[in-house]
Amino acid sequence: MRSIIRKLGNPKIFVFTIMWMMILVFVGTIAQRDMGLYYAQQQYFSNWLAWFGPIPVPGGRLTMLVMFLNMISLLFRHTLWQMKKVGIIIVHMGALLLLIGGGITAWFSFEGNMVLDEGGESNFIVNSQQSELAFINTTQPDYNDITSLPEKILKNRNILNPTDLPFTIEIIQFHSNAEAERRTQSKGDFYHGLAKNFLLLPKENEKEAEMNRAGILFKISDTNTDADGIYSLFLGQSIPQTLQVNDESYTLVLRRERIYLPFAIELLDFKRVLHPGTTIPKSFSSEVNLIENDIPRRVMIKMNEPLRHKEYTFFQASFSQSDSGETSILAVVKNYGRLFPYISSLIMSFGLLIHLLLQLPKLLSSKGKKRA
Amino acid sequence: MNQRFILLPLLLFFICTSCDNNRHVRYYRVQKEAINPTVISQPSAPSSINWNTPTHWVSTKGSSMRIGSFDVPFADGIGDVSVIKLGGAAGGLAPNINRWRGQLNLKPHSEIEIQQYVKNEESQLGTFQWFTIINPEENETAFLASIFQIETHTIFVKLSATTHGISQLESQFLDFCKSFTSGATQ
Repeated sequence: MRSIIRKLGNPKIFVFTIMWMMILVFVGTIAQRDMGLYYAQQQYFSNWLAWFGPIPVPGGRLTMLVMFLNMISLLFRHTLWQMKKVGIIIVHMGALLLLIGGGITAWFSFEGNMVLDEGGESNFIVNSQQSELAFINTTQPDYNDITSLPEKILKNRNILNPTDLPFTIEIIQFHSNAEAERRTQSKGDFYHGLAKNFLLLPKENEKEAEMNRAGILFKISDTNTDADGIYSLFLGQSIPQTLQVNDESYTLVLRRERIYLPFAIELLDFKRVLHPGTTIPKSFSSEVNLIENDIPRRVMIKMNEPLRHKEYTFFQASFSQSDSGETSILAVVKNYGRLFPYISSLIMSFGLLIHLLLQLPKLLSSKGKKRA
Repeated sequence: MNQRFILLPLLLFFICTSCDNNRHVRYYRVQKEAINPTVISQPSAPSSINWNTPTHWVSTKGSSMRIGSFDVPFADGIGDVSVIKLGGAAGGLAPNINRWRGQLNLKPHSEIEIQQYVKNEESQLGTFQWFTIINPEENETAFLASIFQIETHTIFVKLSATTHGISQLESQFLDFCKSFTSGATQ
């Protein structure tokens, strides 16, 4: 075990991981031009393995894990634990905290948009890059029970048995970008809705991930009714697929992934100020009501003045205008690791200062000796 | 050196990977809302299509593929109007016309034949092509259709009615198609 720790704690590993990260940043930045920002991030930084053509190489996540293990192992070296190296230990602690913060951000953070029409209200965030297959039980008059299957589990041949649903779902095909083509002949009764007359054909992903239109073909079984069969859905399908099983009504939609919030935001007024004499926008702002436990609180969200509430931060990101009125688009970030970079930077600065102060007498005496 | 120290980061790693929220089925209970998917900025294609519906047209549920569906009354019956939006060229003009001709038991036409009766009209969404498909031997069903080809999408608007109904509804149908606009997004 000691030898493993010694090998893992080799400072050369740290140097190589830093160099490898620089290469990944370089390649990822170049790749972004052709594949778009989102897919470049996913392929090179958010993956355990990245692919340089057919060759698998450590991705950003694996590289950071190796760096983390290396720094942890380094702390177990007896030679480090000396009074004169307190500063270095503190710097290491700060760097470890930074990596932990990065890990928390990678696994638990969430980014999305909240789209609000003037006078409208919303209590969910939409992730424009990911889809979800939602089974909405609409039986009750006041509320809907939603069972959501995120894109990451919509793998071909995946069989899912969500506890809240009285049927089994088998994913036959899922394409993050697809198009429909009419079948030459209608399929039989086992095929329902869109699947009866249309085929799903995969398309290459668009550079901008939010331009993709996902499509899914799946089989529902074990209802022991006519509802058993093959279904197909498209992202943005305006008339959703419905299903009746055991006196329960379900609406099936393939939509952008949603995260529901414990509060709601109501857009009271959206303001756009233009530079005088031009149509170039100078600033945007959204006057909103933050409604929590039925108590509204009026807040103004401006560019560079976001609303922070609980773990969520709402930024004024964009807007749209149509005949029906103005719509404000807020970028929403939920990040538990938000404070880690600040705290770890302070710790590392403090560590460097301590190290400098501890080394100062040695530095001064060596200069004195040289002069003498 | 205690083995627990090396197990600590490994444990952390497994906790992190097992807690990935995006790999689990999620359950929610939410207040009722309209289940209309939110569409965000799609600069190269209209994010939403608007039109002016004639007052006596009745909006119907239609199939899941339709973005608009109407029952259209005329003197001696009811026609069916469908609006369908598909990605890309959706097969192109001639194959779609021939598919509809096939539904009316008519032989396919060549591209040159088709160009002789396809007409162009303008809407705010762009130029669209329209045409009628009638089988003189079967008056019960005929089609009046238009096709909008817009960069990354194709929109099909089709009126299905009797031959008599098609002639009665032609001007309404064309006014409906001309009213097509996109919900501009910035």
